[in-house]
Amino acid sequence: MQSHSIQDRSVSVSVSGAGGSGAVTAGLILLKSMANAGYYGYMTRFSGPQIRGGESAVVLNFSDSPVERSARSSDIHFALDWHGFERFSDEIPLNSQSCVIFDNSHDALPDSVASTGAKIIEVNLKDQADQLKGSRPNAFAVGIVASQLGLPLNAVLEALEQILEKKGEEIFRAASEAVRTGYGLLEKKAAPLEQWKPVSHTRWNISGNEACALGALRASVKFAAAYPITPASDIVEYLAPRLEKYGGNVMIAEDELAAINMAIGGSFGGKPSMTATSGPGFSLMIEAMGLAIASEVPVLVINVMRGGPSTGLPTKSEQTDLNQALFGMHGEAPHVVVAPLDIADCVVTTQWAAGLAEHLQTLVVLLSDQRLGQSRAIIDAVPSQTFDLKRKILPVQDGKGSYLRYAVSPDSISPMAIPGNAAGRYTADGLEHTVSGKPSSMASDHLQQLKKREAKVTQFDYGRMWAEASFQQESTEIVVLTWGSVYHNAKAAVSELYHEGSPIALLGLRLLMPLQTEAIQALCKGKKVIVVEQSYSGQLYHYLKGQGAIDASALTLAKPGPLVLGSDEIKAFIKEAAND
Amino acid sequence: MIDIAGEKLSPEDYLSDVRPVWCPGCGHYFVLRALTQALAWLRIPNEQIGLVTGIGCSSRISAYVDAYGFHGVHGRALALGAGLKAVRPDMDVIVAGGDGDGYSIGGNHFLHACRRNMDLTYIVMDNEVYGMTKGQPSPTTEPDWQSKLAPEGTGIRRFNPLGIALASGASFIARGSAGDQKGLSRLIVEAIEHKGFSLVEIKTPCVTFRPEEKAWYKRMRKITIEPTDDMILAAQRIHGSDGFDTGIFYQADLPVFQPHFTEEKSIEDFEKEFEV
Repeated sequence: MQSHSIQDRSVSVSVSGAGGSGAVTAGLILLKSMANAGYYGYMTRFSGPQIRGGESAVVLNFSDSPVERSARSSDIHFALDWHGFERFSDEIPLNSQSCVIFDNSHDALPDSVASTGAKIIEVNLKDQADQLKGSRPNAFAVGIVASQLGLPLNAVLEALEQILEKKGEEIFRAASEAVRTGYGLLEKKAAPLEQWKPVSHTRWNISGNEACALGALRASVKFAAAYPITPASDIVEYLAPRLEKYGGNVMIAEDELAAINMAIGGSFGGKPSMTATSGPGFSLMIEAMGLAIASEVPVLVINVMRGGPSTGLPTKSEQTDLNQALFGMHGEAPHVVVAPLDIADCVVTTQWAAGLAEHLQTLVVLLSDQRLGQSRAIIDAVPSQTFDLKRKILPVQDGKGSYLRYAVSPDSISPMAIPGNAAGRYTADGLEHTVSGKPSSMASDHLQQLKKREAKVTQFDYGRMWAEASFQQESTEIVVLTWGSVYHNAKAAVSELYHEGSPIALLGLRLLMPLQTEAIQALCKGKKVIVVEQSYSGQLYHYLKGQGAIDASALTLAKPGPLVLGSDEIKAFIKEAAND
Repeated sequence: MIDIAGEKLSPEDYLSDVRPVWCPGCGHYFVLRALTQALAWLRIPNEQIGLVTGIGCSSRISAYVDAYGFHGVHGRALALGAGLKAVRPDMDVIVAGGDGDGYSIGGNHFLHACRRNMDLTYIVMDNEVYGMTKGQPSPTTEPDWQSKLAPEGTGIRRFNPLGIALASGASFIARGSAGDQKGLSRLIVEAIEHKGFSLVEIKTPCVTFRPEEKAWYKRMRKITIEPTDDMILAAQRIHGSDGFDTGIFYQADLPVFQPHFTEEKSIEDFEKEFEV
């Protein structure tokens, strides 16, 4: 085991294998075992382009304090086989400190792994599985890894029971026997967990996508329509069986064009509504997003970003739909764009986003990404909170009044009539319109409604939610500005430098549009600013510069997906920049 | 309040104060009249009507009816209407538009709206041309009709809305004529009262870009036989027709898609699932 792992009390494990070998299940069991033992963990998953029969891998990082980023390298790697392993050489860095355990009943050890200098342990799991009816190699692997970590066997068996609950008694019995056998198979080394302090309070085992869905439920979203797309499908799959027991529904759309329009229809009908998609689907939704803005119908669109353009990198992460989310609509279409900073923040920011859509009666885009969405972590429970963000609704009255749906008001938000209210009959329109909703192409009406739609979004007080600022002090000289799934690695880099005495601060942006330009200026003026993001062209950097939020002297650290922008890389860049 | 018990309602009770942009003599005026007449006969409270449209001359109708209207984007009215109906089953949701909106850019939604068989009424004002963009061939235009965009005609066979609706699962399929006010109003009443997806395809002349279509008024005729729920018989009627027959070609009692929900769970129940 690496000495640094014990010092900073974290340990990293990876598992790989051919699709169907159970690498992901092994990861899920290990994560849950760690949780049962009183620890925290973070798991990312990788897969080849095949649906089945390809290769998949999980990378886990464990600690006795909250951890939400991958380690620099694997302390233990378990290869169920070496099928397609070379594809993960970047995601699963091995070195001379690593311990590689592999099932030698398949392929021989690849030279690329041997040459890392890692300690190699061979086991024959086929023999083991043959001797134990109904068992699978991945269960032995879980036992082996658990023993090498010093993870209590009970915590693993408990996790096994929770995960295999629905698969029947026989499968559970075989699996638990295999775990026991695996647990005793190798000699125990100095186990890193012996130094750790377990916690006993309740924690959550949750993915970023599930966290977004929970945030939507907390915000009382009652209608979701969506078309399947990787890596966003988990959100509506989570919602489907739950929303219908919570006063709402999920509708399967024939395509993303339908999904967004269904959501707009549901919202027009009076129910907070949303859809979730990824890049290609987001492109298809763009036209109707403009409709939501023009007709002032609240709608939340979650985009779990993947690499693009076109089909791009469907299973891998990138932060490159920012430009489109900000500026994709034709015409002038003021709206709100937000982005959560980590898994717990997915709950909070989604709840906030759905509330903003309702309150401001407009489109809110929430940008998550594959890394954030499909990572799973053991986190502290996210306390419930309330945002005072509700749709302003026209009171129900009999008889037709003189309702002006798009009337200009001090906060530019006009009460919305919900169908069924006799006093509020109107036609919502994507055509430019007068205050009553009547189509109009007159310059004065266009200007009035443009101003109204812009003012309600820009004049709103977003409060403290707009960003997370940390390590700020009087003497701050360097500010690292970042967003989304890069946040935790940037935070780790900044934290290390700060504690080494560097006058450095971190700013994680949650509200991207309308940009809080003055607030950013206040924190960044006269400082060395470094914008860190997962894109090739530096979309956030150019946006911030273009809006005048940061100076021309600001620096950019932009790296395209799918490889994670690691904290070492970020730290090295900052150090070099600081010396210039 | 207009809806006083016993008081007879008139089409005017369902007209908004917005004046149509349609050309003088446009067939759509008759459709507006027939629709408002049907609503008056049914005495549906204005605020319980959702009229959802896309883009095109005919799609402007949502501004002309005094109800809750939505004039959305091109081709997506059926999807928006489905979303509205999903959350508001109490409302009578009527979706309307033209042949280009429904059968071309919105073609996929048409197929799936039929298949889903929600309790929606879909009124298509088919004039076999794109009028708002000034005279291009639509999916229902005959292959040899000459236009600026297709000087020799498109050479492409016509879309058969009734046949496709039948194959896709619509449970009420009718054709009407803008020239037959009373007959059309009756068809729309039947369509609204039908439980399931009702297609009312209306032949309505474009007097500006297809003036020859005015001859439709004389050519359209009623089918005299009773509606059938036999798909084979309906297919024979639909495919055996020259396109000028009006009436209900098919009406069946098929499973209607309407999402239901309960309130049996609380947010704490969902949060518990994550606990370790």
